[in-house]
Amino acid sequence: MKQEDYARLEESIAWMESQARSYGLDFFDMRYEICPADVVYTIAGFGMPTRYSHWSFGKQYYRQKLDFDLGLSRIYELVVNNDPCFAFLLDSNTVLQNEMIVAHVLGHSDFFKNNARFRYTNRRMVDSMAASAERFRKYEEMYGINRMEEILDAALSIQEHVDASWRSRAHVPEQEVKKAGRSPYDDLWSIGQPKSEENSTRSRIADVIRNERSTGATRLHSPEPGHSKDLLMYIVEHSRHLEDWERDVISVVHDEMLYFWPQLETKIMNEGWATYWHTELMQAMDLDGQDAIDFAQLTAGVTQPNRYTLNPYNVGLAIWRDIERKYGREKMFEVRECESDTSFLRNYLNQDVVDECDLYLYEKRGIDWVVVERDYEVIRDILVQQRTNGGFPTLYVTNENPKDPRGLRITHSFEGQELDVEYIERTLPNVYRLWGQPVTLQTLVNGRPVEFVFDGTTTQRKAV
Amino acid sequence: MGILVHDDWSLDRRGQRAQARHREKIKEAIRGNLADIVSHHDIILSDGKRTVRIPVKQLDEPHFRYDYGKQKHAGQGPGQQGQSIGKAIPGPSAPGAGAGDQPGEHNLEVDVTLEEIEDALFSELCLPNLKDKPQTKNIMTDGFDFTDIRNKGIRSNIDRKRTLIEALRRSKNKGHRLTITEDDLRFKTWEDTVRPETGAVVIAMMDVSGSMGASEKYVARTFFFWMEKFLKKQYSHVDMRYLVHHTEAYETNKDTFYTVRESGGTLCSSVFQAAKDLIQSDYPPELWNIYLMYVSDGDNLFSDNERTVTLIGELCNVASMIGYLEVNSYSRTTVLSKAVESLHQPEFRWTSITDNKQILNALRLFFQRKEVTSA
Repeated sequence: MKQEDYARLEESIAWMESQARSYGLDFFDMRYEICPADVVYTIAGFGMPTRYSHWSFGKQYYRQKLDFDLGLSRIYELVVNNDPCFAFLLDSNTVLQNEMIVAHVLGHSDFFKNNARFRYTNRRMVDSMAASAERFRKYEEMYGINRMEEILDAALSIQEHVDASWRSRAHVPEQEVKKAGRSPYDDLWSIGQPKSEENSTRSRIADVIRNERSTGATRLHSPEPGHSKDLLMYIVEHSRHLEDWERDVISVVHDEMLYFWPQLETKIMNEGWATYWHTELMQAMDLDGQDAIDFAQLTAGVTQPNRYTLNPYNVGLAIWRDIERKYGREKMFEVRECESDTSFLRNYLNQDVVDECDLYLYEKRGIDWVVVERDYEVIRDILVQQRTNGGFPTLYVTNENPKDPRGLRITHSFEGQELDVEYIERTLPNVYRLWGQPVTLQTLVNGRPVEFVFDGTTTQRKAV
Repeated sequence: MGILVHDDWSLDRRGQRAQARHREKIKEAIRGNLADIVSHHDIILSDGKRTVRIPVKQLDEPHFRYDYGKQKHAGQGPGQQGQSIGKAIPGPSAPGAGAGDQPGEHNLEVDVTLEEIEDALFSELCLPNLKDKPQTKNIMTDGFDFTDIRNKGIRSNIDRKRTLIEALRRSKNKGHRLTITEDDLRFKTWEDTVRPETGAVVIAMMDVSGSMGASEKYVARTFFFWMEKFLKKQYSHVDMRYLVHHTEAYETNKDTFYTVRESGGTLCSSVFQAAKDLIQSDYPPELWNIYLMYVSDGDNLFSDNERTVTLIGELCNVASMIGYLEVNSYSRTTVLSKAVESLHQPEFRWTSITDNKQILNALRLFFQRKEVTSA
């Protein structure tokens, strides 16, 4: 963007925000940051502007940067679910590109604010993450970079195994605001005192640790007897192998995953929604000749179908348009509030959409990837199945109790998709690192029940 | 309305720092996967490309995840049921291929530079049996050392300490306070340091009779690729010469070396005789470090064994190393391997491998430090 473009962009922002409100969009206060490519890719790599550091974020960063340098990447939209809502715009974009991104992120911001799945997300996550990152830096100083990396490697490798269901989250207070500069152990001071309003996850952890020490056992996330789906929290609560700072690291990973979870669950809806509204807004903006052509080209780029993966911009937009055609715009707002990808696909993916998007399923046959399905019902059911639980396998802790002498037992709730055995064998040692005792995973391989046991040195595979 | 901010982000280095750590992890992974990496086809066929994209699974963060190959996946585009949309086997990646160009998981691949692989590989290897080459071929300049002090010179080379000592001595003798005059100045002077240019020649020899198939040649090619690279790190000048043989031996260029295939029988001695002739004509041993490397599947005419062994024995007197790499997919005992068992010269090393995963071990064996015991 050239210097004189900033004024135009500011004007467009004002116009688009008021236009969007007139359409009924209801978004957070917006903060648009114009920054260089490198910063945008850092934030994209880290997932958030204030997050702690880990080498895997560096890998993502590098990949983004490489694509950018090679000219492969599409223009970037980077928006953070937070109040105020942060959007990052590339300074090397044209002003038209940035206008389109502004229009697009208004859709996301509205979605974040109104979709039910996001109700329990922390709207001050940027601050919370800054505070965790600060604590992590202290841990790094105190315990060394290697121990920090080891615990993060282990925790991140099972980060998807949280319980983001409403039942488990409804009794979790809406948000916890950590103030920067607190010491990592401040929670401990409140032990024995009446609970303050800020009943944070971390102070609950402290409670649990204390309760466990005095009474022997507590269940937090599963008030009723049963098996915990929240592997991370189970480990935080029950592992006898961890130091307090390590529990803190794991629970930060846990909380951040809960924060990201609704985004995983609504990818198609959310991108489709944002694309729908950016198109509406940009078309209402009355672009002149060249801008209109450029805009059409940009949108075509974003919604370009891909042979090997479903493009959420493309399919999401097609479903929203289909809903609008068949049920009207009011219905769209209702859907954006109540549904997530699984129900969105289940209810609104029909043959019209499948035909319009040229959707198919393919699978491996011999040495080829082969198209195997064009029927919408089959495609729909497979997509729904694959998006269940954010696209991750559902695992339960099925110990008798936390002190089960056989160690930690995890059962894969099998629903037709087998796990990658090589990855099981590489992941179990990480769980062992956190649990400190043998770890068993039960699943189905080639249709037969199998147990993988890591005992601290090797992984054994046993038929059950 | 929303706020438009244009802050200065120039101090934000988190991305680069995390990336640097990732680079370190890549280096660790390279060391851990060297056996796979050194035989990766993209590297051997890279032809001067400085980076190669290779799969390093260790760098994909472990997760409990579905088996990609057993799942159905959604895609978009034309195509009838039953139509193939891509190959499910990994192959050389197309140049500039980005995510989404192929099915499967490209995030398993990392770009590594040849230097990174070389660093990891060559740190394990040594030149064996270095022999003094008293009559060096050439003298080359290799920098300079400050070796002497003079009282004339250029100002940038003033030796301050000695100048001060001179000034002190003179001032003291004359009994007045410290001054520095023109006469006190001392200058460092330098000399060019020279080191002899050491040259090495690799005589690559291969059996190209019908029994050597494409995979055997691939092993040979991979091995020679790294051998040449390694020696080039050690010597300022490395000649590569290529000899092939069936019942007769002849010299070829590099390309022919890996592609030529002859029918007929096998006489190993022919290629060692050709190597001996080549050394006599072009590479006097007092000037050259000579490395002979022979790749074969171990077939030989039984009656030719004695002559072969004799020739190898003679060549041991002039060569730094004679290696015999047997590519033997079925680990059978071969005619030639039996014959060479009688050779005990430290210059002679041989091993038998079944496939390209063992090339790393072969390199380690041939280039380990094991000094000549007899003169």
